[in-house]
Amino acid sequence: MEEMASASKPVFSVADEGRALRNLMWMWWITAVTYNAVAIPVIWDPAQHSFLVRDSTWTPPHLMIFGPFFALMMFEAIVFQFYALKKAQPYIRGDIPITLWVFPITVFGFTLGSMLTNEIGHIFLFREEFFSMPTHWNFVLTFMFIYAVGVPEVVRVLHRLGQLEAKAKELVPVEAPAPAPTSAPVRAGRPVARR
Amino acid sequence: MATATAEAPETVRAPFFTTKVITFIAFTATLIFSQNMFAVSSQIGVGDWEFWIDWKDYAWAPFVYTWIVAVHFPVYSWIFNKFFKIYFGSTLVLMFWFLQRTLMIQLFYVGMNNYPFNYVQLPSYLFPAMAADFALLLFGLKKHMGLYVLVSAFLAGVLVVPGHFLFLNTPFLLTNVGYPDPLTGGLHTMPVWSLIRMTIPKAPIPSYIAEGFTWPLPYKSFYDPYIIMTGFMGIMGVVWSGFTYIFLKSIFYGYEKTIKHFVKPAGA
Repeated sequence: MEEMASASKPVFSVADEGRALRNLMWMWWITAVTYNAVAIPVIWDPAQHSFLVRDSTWTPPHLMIFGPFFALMMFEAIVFQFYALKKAQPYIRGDIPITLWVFPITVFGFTLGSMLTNEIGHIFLFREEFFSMPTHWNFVLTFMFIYAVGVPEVVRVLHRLGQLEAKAKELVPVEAPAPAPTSAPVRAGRPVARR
Repeated sequence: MATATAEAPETVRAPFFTTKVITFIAFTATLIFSQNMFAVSSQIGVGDWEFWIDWKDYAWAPFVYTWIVAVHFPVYSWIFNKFFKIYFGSTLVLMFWFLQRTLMIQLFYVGMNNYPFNYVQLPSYLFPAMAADFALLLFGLKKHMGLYVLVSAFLAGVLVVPGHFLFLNTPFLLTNVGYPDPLTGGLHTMPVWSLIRMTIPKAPIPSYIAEGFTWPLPYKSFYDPYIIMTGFMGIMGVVWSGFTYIFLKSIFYGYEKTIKHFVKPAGA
């Protein structure tokens, strides 16, 4: 791995960056749970199709069970990427790191694009169809792309936390035993390394 | 132990960088991501072939079954070993997926629609998942990734056949049913697959059901349906392994591309 100590890029304190990355890690976890929740309508939908036969994204039952998840996925993609870019790791702006841009593009492009091809398929090809017909394959590709960019995002943050840990150990080579709890505020001011 | 605030310099706080909690978050996030991709791929990519226990046309099933096992499981095995040093990533994802799917089916099919739970299939992907994990045990991360993917995808594809034999719908199709004779009033006892073939003469029943399962003995013809089908599954696994390799490489490409932009930790 190539480490660059560029003066042009913003530099955090170890503690501040660690806190921001911890927040980012929780955000990725929430994202993962949201995507996972899509597995609920994916089972619910065929159950509904045992008595509902109009297969289109825009029927009320489909909107009811799929709509909130798609909306939430797109919202989270925007908010979390902005947090990553602006707050947690602003120093990785620059040469367009691929995961950074592919993620929102994937979520928007594939989600909306899949809905479009799904509609075209249901209007012109198969009104009610077998689940694994080619017009549905875009949904599969959507989630494969999300995996291909989401997992690197998670491990990227984990990797950076490992770097910070190493740096912190370098700064504090000797482990001091923790004193008894004090009444001092936990987060009061700019953190500094203990020397 | 690493940092303290300016106002309380004597306070030494617990590390928050790579604690067990952080590792746990990263691990569960990766597990959930993996499970989610598999759930969508299974439900939409394989669809009804995997879901219901009833009979369906198997003519195209080998393509989708080999696709899902050969593209997904080698990736899970590699990712979980690479980042979390776990040697049973595929099986873990599969079990997690099956647990969630069972809960969903209980809720939406049994709970809401009174659908008989027996008609939903068991996890027929189990053997391919174990094969991918086993291949990683053989190869490890140090060896060539392309070769690992090739062997892993081949084994996963081949093991679709015994997986189907045990978990798919073989017991259902071999169940004896009574078919009333409209002329004599008697009852013809026959397996379900035979009844299906009576209705649809060219119904593509899997050969291990229609022809019966036997071990591939030396005197058996190379063109035995059982051998042909297994070989075809293996070939399809190898075909899909190219896509698997691209998928795995793209994950690491994105990761390595991003960490190049890391600045050195400031240390303040």
